[in-house]
Amino acid sequence: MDKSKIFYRFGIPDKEILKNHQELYDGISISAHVAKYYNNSIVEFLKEVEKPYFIDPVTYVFARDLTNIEKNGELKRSYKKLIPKYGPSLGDLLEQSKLSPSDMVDDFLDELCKHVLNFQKTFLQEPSAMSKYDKILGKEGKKAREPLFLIPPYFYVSEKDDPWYKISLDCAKKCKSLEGEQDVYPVIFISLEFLMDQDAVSKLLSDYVGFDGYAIWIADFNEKLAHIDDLKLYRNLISKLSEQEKPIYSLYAGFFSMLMSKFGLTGFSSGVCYGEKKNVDTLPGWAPPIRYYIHQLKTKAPELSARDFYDEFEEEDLLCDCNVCKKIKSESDKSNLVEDFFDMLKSQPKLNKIHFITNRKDESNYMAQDLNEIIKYLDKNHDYFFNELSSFEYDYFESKHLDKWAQVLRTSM
Amino acid sequence: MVYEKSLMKPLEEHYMGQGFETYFEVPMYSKKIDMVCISPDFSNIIAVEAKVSRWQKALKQAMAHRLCANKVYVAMWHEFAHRPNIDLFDKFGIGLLEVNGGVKLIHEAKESNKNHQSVKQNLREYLIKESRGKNG
Repeated sequence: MDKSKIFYRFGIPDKEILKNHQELYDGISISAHVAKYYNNSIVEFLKEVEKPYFIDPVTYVFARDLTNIEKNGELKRSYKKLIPKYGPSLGDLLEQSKLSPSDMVDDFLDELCKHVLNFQKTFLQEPSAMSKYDKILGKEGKKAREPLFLIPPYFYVSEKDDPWYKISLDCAKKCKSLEGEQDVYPVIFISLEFLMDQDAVSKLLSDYVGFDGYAIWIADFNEKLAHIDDLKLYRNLISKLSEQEKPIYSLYAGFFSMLMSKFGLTGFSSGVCYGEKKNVDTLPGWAPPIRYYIHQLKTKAPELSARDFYDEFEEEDLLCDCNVCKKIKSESDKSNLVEDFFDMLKSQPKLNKIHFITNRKDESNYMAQDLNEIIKYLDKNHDYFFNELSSFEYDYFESKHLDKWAQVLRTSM
Repeated sequence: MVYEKSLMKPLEEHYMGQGFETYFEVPMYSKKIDMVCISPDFSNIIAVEAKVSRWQKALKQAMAHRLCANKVYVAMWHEFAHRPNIDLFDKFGIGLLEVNGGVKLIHEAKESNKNHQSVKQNLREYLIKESRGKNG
C-alpha cells in the first residue's frame, strides 16, 4: 500500500473545482456543521461527484471555549443547526456552558453516540430542495451512498491523564458495538505533548485495537517546521498503528503525511491549497489567503513572495510544468515571463488551486517509487535550493524541511 | 527602549522635506509596507522597511517591495546600522538608512528593475485613493 489517497475537505468556494477535476483526487471530507448548514448544496454535490466521502462530526468543539464557535455573541448558525441533530441533551447542556467530563455520563454518551452516527449515515437521505428533479434525472429510488466510514464522537486529549482520553475511547467502543453494518473509525486527536509521551502512546496503541480503521489528528502539527524528533514520533505512531492492518487517515495533513504512505498511512485530508494543519482552537472567520504552491519545496508562498523569488533568480525552469502552468507559460510573450505568469494566474483566481491539486495528484502517483528514489528526490531539491540558488534564505523558499523529511525516511531503513 | 515607531517620525520628516507624501502600514497583497513615499505626480515611489536592529528580517521583507517601488530602503536605529552586510544589500539593490533623530544615507538603493506593472499599479491606485482622502 504505497499510493496515498487524497481527500479534500469540502468548502463552498472549492465546489466547482472539485466537481470539474474529479480525476485529481480520491475522496471528500466534510465537517458536520458545514454539512448541515449547506445541506442541500452538499447533498447535490455528493450525488453528482460520486467519490467516497466521510463526515467529521467535530464534537470536540463542544468541549472547548464556545466563543470559538460564536459570532456576535451567539453560536454560529451552522452549529445551531447541527446541535439538535446530536440529540436533545446536547443543546440543554451547552446552554449552561461547554461540555465538561462530568457531563459525559452513560445515558448522555449513549444518546450522543447514536445521534452522531445516525447523522452521518442518513445525511444523503435528507430531503433536498432539488430532490423533485431526481425523478426527471432518473435518480429516484437509487439508494443513497453511505459514507466510507463512520466517525464516533471524539474530543481533544492534551496529555496522558486527560479525562477526555477515556471519554473518547468509550465513545469509540460504544459506536463500534452500536453499528453493525458500516465501518467505524475513531479519531485519535492528541497534542504534540501526548505524542512525545512514550507511555501515553503505548497505552493508546493497546487501547485502540479492534476497530475497522483509524483517523489521526495531532493538534497544530506543522509538518514543515516540526522538529525532526517529532516527525519521527509521528512516523512511529502510524507505523505501530498500521500493524493492525487497518486503514489509517490523517485529518489535516500535507506532503509529509503523503510520505507516511510508506509506513502504513492510507490517505489524508486537507483543504484545497490550505488546511494542512489545524489547532484545536481555531478562531472563527479565518479565510485562507491566496498562495502559489511551490512543487519542488512542497510549500506555498503568497503571490508577492513568489513573484519576487522567481523574478530574482530568472530561472524559468523553476516555474511549474503542470498542465495549468504550462498553458500559462505558452500564452506569455516571454518579454517578462514571470510577471506574465503571475498576472495570468491572478486573472483567473481558481487557477492556483487547480495547479495545486494537479501537483498533489502527481505527488501521490510518485509515491509508487521506492523509498530510496523518494529520498533522492527530496535531497536533490533541498541541495538545489539550499546550496546553489542563494546564500540568502527567502521566506517561504527555505528547503531545510526537505532535508529533515529525507532523514526521517532514511532512519526508518 | 527604542521601538520601530520611533523611527517613523524622522523618516516622515526626511521624505516630506524632499516633497514626498508619506503613508504608513500600506497594504500590499497579504503584506504591509512600513512606509511608502510618493512624489506629487505619483511617478516616483519609495518603500521603506523599518527595523530597530533585525536587519536580516528587514531585508527579507524589503525584497518584495522591489516589485512595486522605484527604490527600496531598510531604515535602522543608528546603534545597529553598522551591522548589516552591505554586500547583500548591494546585491539586491536595496538601500540602507540610519535613523537617529534625523536620517542619514548609508547605502544608496538602485533603481528597481523588478517592477511588475500590475503590482505597482495596485499600489499606485491605493495611494491615489488615500491621497484624495487626505486632501479632501
